Amino acid sequence: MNTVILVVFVLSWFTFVFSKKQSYWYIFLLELALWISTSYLAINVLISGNEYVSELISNFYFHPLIIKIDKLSAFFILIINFTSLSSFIYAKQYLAPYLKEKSAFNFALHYFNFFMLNFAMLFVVMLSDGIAFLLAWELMSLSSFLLVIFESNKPDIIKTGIKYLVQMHVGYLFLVAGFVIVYAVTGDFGFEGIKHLVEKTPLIVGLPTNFWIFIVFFIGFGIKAGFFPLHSWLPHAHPAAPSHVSGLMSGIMIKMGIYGIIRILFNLPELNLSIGIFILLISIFTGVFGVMSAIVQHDLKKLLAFHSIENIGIIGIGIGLGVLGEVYHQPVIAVLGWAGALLHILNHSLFKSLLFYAAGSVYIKTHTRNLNKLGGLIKKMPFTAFAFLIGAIAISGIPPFNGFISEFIIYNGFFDGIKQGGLAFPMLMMFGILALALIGGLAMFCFTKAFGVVFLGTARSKEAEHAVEVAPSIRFAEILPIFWIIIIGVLPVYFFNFINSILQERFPLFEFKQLAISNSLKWIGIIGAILWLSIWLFYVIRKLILKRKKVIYADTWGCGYTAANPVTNQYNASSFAANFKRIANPVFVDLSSEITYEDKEVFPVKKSYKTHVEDKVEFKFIMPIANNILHYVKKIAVLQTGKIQDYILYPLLFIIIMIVLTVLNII
Amino acid sequence: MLYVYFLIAVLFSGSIFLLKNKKWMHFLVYGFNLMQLIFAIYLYRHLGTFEIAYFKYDSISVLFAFILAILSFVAAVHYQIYEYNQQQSIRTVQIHNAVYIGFNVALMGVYLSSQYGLLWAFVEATTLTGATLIYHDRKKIVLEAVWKYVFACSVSITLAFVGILLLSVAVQKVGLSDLSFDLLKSNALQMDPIWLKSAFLFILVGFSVKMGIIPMFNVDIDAKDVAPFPISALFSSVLLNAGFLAVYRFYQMFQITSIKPWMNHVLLIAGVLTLLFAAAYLLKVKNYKRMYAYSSMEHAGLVIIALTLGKVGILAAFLHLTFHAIVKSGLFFQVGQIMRLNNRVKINITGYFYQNPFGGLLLLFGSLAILGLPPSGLFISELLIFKELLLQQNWILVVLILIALTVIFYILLKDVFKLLFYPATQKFETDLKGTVVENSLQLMLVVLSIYFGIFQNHYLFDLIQASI
Amino acid sequence: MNALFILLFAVSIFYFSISVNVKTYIRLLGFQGVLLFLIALNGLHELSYIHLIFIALETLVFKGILIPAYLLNISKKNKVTNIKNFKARRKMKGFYLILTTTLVFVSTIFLGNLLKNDFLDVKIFSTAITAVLMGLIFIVINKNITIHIISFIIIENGVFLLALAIGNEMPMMVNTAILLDLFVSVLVLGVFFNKLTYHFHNDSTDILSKLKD
Repeated sequence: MNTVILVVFVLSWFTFVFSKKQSYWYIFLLELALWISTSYLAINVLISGNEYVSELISNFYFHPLIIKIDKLSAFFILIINFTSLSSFIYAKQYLAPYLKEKSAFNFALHYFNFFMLNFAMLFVVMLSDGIAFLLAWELMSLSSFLLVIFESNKPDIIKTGIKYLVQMHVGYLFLVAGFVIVYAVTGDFGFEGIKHLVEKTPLIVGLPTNFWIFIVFFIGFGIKAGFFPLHSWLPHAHPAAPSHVSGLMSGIMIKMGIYGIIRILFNLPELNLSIGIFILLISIFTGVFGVMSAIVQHDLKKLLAFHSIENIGIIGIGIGLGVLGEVYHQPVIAVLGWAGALLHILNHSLFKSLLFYAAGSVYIKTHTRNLNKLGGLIKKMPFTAFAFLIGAIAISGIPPFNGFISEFIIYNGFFDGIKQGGLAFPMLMMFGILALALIGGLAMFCFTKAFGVVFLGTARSKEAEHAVEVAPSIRFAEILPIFWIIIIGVLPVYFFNFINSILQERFPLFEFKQLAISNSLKWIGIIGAILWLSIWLFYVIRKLILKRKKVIYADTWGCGYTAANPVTNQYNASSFAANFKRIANPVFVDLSSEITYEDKEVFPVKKSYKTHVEDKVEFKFIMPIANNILHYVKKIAVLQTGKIQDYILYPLLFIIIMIVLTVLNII
Repeated sequence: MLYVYFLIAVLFSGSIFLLKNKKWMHFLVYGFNLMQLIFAIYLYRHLGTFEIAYFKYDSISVLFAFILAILSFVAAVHYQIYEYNQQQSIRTVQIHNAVYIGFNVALMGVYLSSQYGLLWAFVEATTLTGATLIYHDRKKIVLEAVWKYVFACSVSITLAFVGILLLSVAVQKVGLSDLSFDLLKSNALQMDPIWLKSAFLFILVGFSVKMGIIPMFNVDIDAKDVAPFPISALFSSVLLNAGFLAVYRFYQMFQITSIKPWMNHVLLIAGVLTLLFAAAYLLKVKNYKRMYAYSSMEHAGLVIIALTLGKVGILAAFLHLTFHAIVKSGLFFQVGQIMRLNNRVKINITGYFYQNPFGGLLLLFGSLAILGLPPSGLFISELLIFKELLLQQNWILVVLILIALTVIFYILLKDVFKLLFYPATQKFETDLKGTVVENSLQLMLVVLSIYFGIFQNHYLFDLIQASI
Repeated sequence: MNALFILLFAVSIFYFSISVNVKTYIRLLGFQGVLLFLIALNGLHELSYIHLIFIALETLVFKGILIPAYLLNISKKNKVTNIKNFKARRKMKGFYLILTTTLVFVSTIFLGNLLKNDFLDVKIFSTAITAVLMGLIFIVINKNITIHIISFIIIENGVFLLALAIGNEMPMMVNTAILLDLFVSVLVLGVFFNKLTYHFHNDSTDILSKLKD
């Protein structure tokens, strides 16, 4: 298997010799080899329960390069491979419209980087040595950056991509710092070192050292994952990328940040209360912030991107619950928290990639992502609408789909927690339940808006009116996640057990069979199956009834107003969220224009109104810092005068300053 | 063998003046380069031996000699194409090629000499030959740059000489008169720190122009800006190495003495300032050649900082210099192609990837490598430097360095992607795309840098490790 | 006897900071060359002919006659720098310059006494360091390339003095290489200076500041 991995890596560099269409199939072949070989290893590990440890390169910068797959890695490998598979199938037809304008090198670069991203993500979860891990980590950022800028002739997209890569680079520096701190304490540069950190560490600013080490790692990984307030790249990069890349990035790449956090937490010798509370609180913030920002968006992909932030919040809440459960020695709560988080990682990778694929289908057929220019697409693109609907229901956490299952597990953990004694712990649990409920409700509100405005009603533009259904291969790519979304919804207990088998490593003494939730999950599955069956039954009955009758298609109902223009008088994205926007004002910066009438204006002239919101964190926090740094750095450049006598002055000054510093004993 | 090397250099260099055909002149340079490569291999097989009393083949000089031999050949090939496209006069090519050989010999001398005075003399020789090489296109702006370069170099090299004189005061007190490295090193502990400190200060300042670091980097940037691009490539790679070696020799000799912390502080200050200045000037940069020149300055600063970080730091510094030399020279060769296609290298040139896809691809990979992104070797060396730097726990410096590096990262990324991918606004000549020879040589450099990023080459490692 | 020559050399540096006339500068350079020869001659312990010829070549012929003559010559030929009324336009007033020179001189004497040891002639050492620093300062405060070259040669003279103060003998080969380099560097400077004045018709550095971002 190792040879296969090395060979495909070397072969991938030859992508550039192929033509536009050949390069797709070439990379497909390599990807296939990669998927099969790594999935084989992962499945082996999951079945046998033994770690897979193997030396890939004997001499890689002071250490042999060792790949190590435990159950957690195996779980991630499977998700990575599956999402890459659907994404790559989707890419073929999605990129077809670009065949004319882009050169063969453009395509080769894109496919090559797709392969590299997949490859790097696999290695991120397989490596534990610090240097190799960081290499894979940076390779992942770089290749995803090059994927994002596929439409590279648009300056805006390049700027977005660069902002993304710079933020990733900052995150990378934090990771280096984290590993170095661990190295300084334990002498081991890598994840293994974290295991050897001392249990009872001295306090820094009233908190244990382990907490601060965790914070450094959390910033590094959190930038990738998109935790509040480190998320600001995410809402820009996802819309800029081609949809299959958005699906891949949102579906699995941001989870690499989560993977890192889980890995750190699993390796830390002792979890502190402070870590648990920190994760729980920041995740709640992230979730609520994400969904609130999503509601006011009118760019479809940006809306989905904010939902990724929300879901990272939900995953984080699960992790927080798991950590708190461990800290309070409540294994049931801990298992429920971890299991919910892991299952939600899987679930989110499915429905978020599906949603992005559907949004991409809408984009390639209508050439717009602006909600206020879409509408009525369910008649033109029924399958896409169906796919989006499934994704929307699943992401809102409604049964019988998978999103409900993972959230249900987390809810269960919280309710279990309330039953425990004490004051602080139940309070935290209550807070978690409230936040989760708020997030779920708002998510539902948001997807009602998104689905309603895009697919229902009347078309708001010519492009939307003339849209047609997408190609079969795209539909096939969308069916892949749909299949699992439904399966998880109907057979949740098997997946719960599967996740538990991963957690077995973490809780070796815990009896997973005693969990009461298994029974509820069984019933949820049965009821879900009945629901599906009855839906199918109703559909058949309806078909039978309508068989002999004539069906008349008419315009969407105008609420009884016969004179109203259905295009302009229907609810649009802005008006749907207008009431909410007033409440949610604190989370964003409103840059909408206002319509004012002057006193003298008897007959008002034509006016336009524009709604636009910006992310508050980015607008008020990150941009000022970045601008200030650039401003002050630029000030140094006044010393460049172009005159030779000044250039002689600098060494003179340097010598004098150094002498003065030496004499004063400063250096 | 060294005699043979010098003799052949003089012979070839002289006979270029007798020729009337450009082609034969280039052949002579290639012949010299071939001989230089053989010489480098000879050096490798005779590690640690002395020749003509003042030349020693230690491992680091052999490593640098190899880099010189390879890059010099690649640059010579590119010069032939450059000169052909510009239709330069025979006279210009004659002078250039003859001096080019001299420049090579001077650099080789800097690498091999084992005596500080001799090293100084060869560094001075690189100035004189280098200035002639820069003065290739007879334009006013070039003349300005050459004047600045020659003048500032003369001043700085004189300061370095002051440093050497101060060093010899310290040496005399121990009862020595020779300035050979081995002798100095073995007697380092007895020497007066005050004289060593002042000597180091002047030597650092004096050689700073060769390395392109604070305080005399300005003229170096100007020189790289106006020089023919193969020469800029050599200035950014092998000459930078020579400057570094000149400083490193001093550092290596006296790192066992009590002045080591002080030297580290001075180097750190110089390095951090270099990074900050590189970041600041990059914010204003207006042409791609200068941009890459500032990038070299950044890397020189980083290497200077790495030097202060102990053994791993020095290992990282030499790795970094090796990889940087490979990648950066490749980038300058590619910039030459941009120049050929567009007749300028101003920052408003865009869409290079559409003009010249293969060249664009090379430029893309090269630039990503120079930014320290994987899978290039620079990633590893930068990571090692960061690691050692953070271990020092000097947080103010760390923050300053990382801010400067992030700003540089951002600006380079922005400008390179603008050059590559923004819609092209200017006309260009497609029939001047890179030839097979050029492309394959540049490809070789890029592949080398990626190879080193993934596989740890034991020849390279043994050479570096032996010198620390 | 030696002390007198050194004193004269120090005085010549002061003279530089008083005068603004370039012709005077060039004459002073010649004067310094002769002084260097005399100081070196005094410092020689054993009189070997090779050394004598070497030193005479370097100081008397090269620094004392050739360079001043060459500078005068190119200044005349170019007509850029009309030698008769060519005055240095300094950024610093004469009074402050003398003050600076005094300050530098005093501090180098102080420094020399601080670092005093058997192998160091403090008088020569202080004068030499003063010459180097003042040469740098002259470059910094002047805008004319001609004066830059003159200041550079003052620095070179200072370095020569420093070498005398230290009195360390480098191996012959190294010495020759160093000397050769110095010759060629001044020559190259002269060549490019010639080209510069030919192309720009001016020797002010203001016109030489195009190269920047």
